[in-house]
Amino acid sequence: MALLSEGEIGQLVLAAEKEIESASTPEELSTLKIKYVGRSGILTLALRGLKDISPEDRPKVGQALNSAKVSLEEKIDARTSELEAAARKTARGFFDHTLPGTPYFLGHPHPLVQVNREIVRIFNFMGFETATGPEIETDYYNFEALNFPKDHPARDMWDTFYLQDSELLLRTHTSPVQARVFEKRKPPIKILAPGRVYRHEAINARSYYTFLQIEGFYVDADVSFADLKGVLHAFVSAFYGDVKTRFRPSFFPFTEPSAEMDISCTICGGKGCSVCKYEGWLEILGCGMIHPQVFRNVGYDPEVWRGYAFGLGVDRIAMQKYRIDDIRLFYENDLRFLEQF
Amino acid sequence: MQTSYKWLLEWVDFSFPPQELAERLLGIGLAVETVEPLFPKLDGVLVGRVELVEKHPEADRLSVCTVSLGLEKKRVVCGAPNVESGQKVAYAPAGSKLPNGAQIGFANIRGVESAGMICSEFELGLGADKEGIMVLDSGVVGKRLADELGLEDWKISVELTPNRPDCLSVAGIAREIAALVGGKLKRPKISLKEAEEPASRFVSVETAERELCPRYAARLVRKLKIGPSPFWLKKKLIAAGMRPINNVVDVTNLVMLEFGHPLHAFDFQRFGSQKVRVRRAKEGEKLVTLDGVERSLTSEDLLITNGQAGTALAGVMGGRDSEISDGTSQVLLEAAYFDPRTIRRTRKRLGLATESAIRFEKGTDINVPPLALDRSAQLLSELAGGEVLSGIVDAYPKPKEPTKLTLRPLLVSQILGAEISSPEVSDYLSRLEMSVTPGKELSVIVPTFRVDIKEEADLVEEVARLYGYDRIPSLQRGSGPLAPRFSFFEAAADRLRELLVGSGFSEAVTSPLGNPKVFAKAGFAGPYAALANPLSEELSVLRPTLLVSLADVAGRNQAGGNPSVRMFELSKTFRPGSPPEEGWRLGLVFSSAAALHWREKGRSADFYDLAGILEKLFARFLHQPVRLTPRESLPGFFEREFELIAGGQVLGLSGELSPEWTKELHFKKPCFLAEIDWELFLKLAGPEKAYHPFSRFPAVERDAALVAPLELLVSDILDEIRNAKESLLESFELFDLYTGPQAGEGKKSLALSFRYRSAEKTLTDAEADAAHERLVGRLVSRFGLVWRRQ
Repeated sequence: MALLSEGEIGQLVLAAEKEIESASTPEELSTLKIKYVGRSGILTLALRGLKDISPEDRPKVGQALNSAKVSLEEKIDARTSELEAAARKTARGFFDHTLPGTPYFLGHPHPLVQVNREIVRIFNFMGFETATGPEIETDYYNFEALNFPKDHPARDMWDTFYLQDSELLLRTHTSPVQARVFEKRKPPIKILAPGRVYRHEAINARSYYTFLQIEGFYVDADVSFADLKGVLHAFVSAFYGDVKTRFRPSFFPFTEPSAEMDISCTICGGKGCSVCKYEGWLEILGCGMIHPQVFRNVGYDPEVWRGYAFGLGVDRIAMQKYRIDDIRLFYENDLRFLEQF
Repeated sequence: MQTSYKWLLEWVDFSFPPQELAERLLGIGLAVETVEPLFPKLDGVLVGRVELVEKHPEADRLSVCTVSLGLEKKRVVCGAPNVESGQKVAYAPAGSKLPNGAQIGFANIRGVESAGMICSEFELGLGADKEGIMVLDSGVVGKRLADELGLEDWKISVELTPNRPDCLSVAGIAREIAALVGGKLKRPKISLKEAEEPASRFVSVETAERELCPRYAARLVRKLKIGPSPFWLKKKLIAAGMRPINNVVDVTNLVMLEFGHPLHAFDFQRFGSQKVRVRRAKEGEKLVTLDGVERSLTSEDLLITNGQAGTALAGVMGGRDSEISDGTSQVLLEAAYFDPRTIRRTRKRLGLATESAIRFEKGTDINVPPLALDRSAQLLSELAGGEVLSGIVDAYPKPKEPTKLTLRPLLVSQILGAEISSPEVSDYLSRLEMSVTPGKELSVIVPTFRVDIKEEADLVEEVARLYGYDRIPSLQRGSGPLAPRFSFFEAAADRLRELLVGSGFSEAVTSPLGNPKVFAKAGFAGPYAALANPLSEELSVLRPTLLVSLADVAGRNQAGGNPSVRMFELSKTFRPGSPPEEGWRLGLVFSSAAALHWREKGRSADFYDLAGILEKLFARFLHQPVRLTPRESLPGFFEREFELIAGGQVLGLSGELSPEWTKELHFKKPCFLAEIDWELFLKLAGPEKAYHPFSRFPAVERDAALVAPLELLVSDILDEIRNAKESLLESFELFDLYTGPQAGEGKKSLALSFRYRSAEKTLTDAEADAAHERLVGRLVSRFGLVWRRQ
């Protein structure tokens, strides 16, 4: 192989570049690669011949040969990629990235269950343990143990479904779980009792004969109304974010003092709208300090133990949260409704 | 309880406007529901005096009146029969507008010019009387009627909790306001003129049931003249939502509204004797009540009698025979205390929620009857010209002492978590008319009208109410047991929801109540846990299964235009018994049309889709396969039904909805359902499975084409593969099934793929072949299959 001068190397590169430019298939380029930079390619052989060059010219020519080889290799590879990409594009045929994707069937959780779980989890984080009780209850647990004597007007607060041929009823609230847990365990107790309850009420947009309720209660040696407010404030800020609260006196036979908690309307922020009936407040839950009589009924000494309890209606909270104006939608289970959650 | 703003102002001094009053009352536990104007606006209407009444020249029934407004006089044509000169009347001048929308102008009525109108109560929106013009008993002529009659007032409607019957009265609500502002209640002054003759000469009182009627007090008023009540009285009744009737009845109602204690007025001449005797009714005893209904009584009911026959259903409703009528001139006024439970039982049984019954059943103040009688008697003498006989005839053998309680001020602070000093505690209780003796422990005498206060905790609430719930601090501190116990059930339910929602199932929440006829028709035989007082037949039993409601919901959805329905519900089902059983079930339903999509031509759901989701559920939770075993179908509901078996137990059932039900529920596509006893299912779930190591050496795949008799269940073959426990077999798959003619008569062709892998080394082909021969050979000989080798 004849030795090449720097000028000849330049010419060789120019010629090669022309060939690369005019190549129209990856195969042609592959042939060019072999011709110039392959094992027996012109430039490879020229590099091998360097040893025959005078030592003073050797570095210069070597450098020129090396850069020519690298440059041609790069050019061939780039051109090959270009041609391959063009070929793939042609091969792919019709492609529209805006076509609807393949459908994946995903179901939807029920909004009531979702809200229920959300609330339960918040209280679980605050140390409340979940407990449950039966939906078919005795008069004792639903009423008497909770300080509703027989024939007491407070029983009218909730109309009750009774079972045929028995003293049993469908629980009107989740509070019976209090008495059931108290009988089995000793304080300190911090419990959350979610579950279904029933009321003998007509069906309309605002009322249904069954709904989900969540009961919470905490019994310990040093529990106060201030603790109750604290835990409810913590819940409200976790669930609703930044809202105002209001506590006002109320009445439940099993708490004394009793209270209702309202929050500033989540829709209008308290200015008044149809959701809050232009009052600016939404009723969220009932609560209070557990009545000493409830403790006496289950054998706790009210001089030793104190506790608070609260109960909230999941349906009502879900209605407020999603601005649902008809409670029956929850029980109709129309997929056009469920698929929104 | 309904009252009015100005009425309250008569009873207590306070300075805040109606809306603020409502907010203040809410803050101490009296939920004011509405505050609204008591009467419509009557801007232009004036008080006039009729000076002259002349006959209309052209019309017999019309008169032409001259109405004086002080300086001015107006000529007004009037059609009312009761117009007389000298009367003070409500005059609507031309240009004014009445509440019913009528625009008053100048009118020419049969040739006589009429300037404005003399109005009736009805036209003014002040009452129901349309018969004649409203005749005023007070008011300065020429002044605004609204001012003169005090019509600018607000109706205050309070929703009371059942523990506060004392507030079913103006006195009660006014007392709460007094406690709020630290003021005193202004009771009406009673100045009663009595005749010399004592009432006890004419009437005696005896109660045979001292427990049920511990007090019966009465007064006699005679020489009465029945007539309409004055407007100030009617106005109060209207404010309270009651209808004015006549002066005697109105007075008893007014006093009930004032003091919260129901009174009854008997026509004494029609009472039937001079002796009041209170006893239990006899079984089946009859009484015709004021509303004209003959009531059949029981021995649970308390009856007021004249010694023989019943004259009133105690505390609930009077009897018709001794009702006040236009001819009444002697009245026996009753103010008694009746046992709340007895009244409640009678009221509930007869469905007679009268104002009286509502108050008695919640508890009245046993010490108020003399006051209520004196106040009524005074009003009857003033308004009906009655003569009040001297003295109250009172059967009250054991006077009730007020409750005495002790209160530890420290306990108040402990329960509330707010520092409230002992003097402050005393002050709040005193404002509520309790008498407090200070000390380390306060000794508190509770007035008898507070029937709800029975123990120390009740006093704590009273203090808290007046201190203000919103002033109690909010204490955010970690407290309570530090032993987190997570509910296995909730965690499993969450996992289930993730799995099913992720697999395309939406969650349903359906009614736990259902129709026994529908359940029976679907083959879920009774007895059911049935309600004694259902809302309707359709909702009269607790459901024995979720399947019927799920099928119903799915059918409605499909009929309503949701072609693909996949739903599940985790809820309770019930069974009667003592005690009844209730348990969690998981229900699944689906029915879907082929997906409409440009890319994938789907297919509608079929039985194997059901089997697929069940396999996933069992594998995920129980780590074992589910076996579907055919079962006799329930008549009607299922076309094909299978028991779901795992761990040797029947855990549920599944199947395809029968054509009859598919049609009845308006499905457009076949519907598949499953129900699993979720509690039993979870019992098999056990603890979390341990990690199973897997091989990192390469696998060898081998296929086998097998011809089997059609009737041989594929599951038998698959079970046999599992039972072989071939150590090199990692997994296998049925990847093709052919039942056409080329498989041969009565045959099917199965294609199975097997993956062999060793945990210790790279398998050679020979080793894999040997294992494959062993395994497939076992199947061939066990079931007599034909192994088609290429």
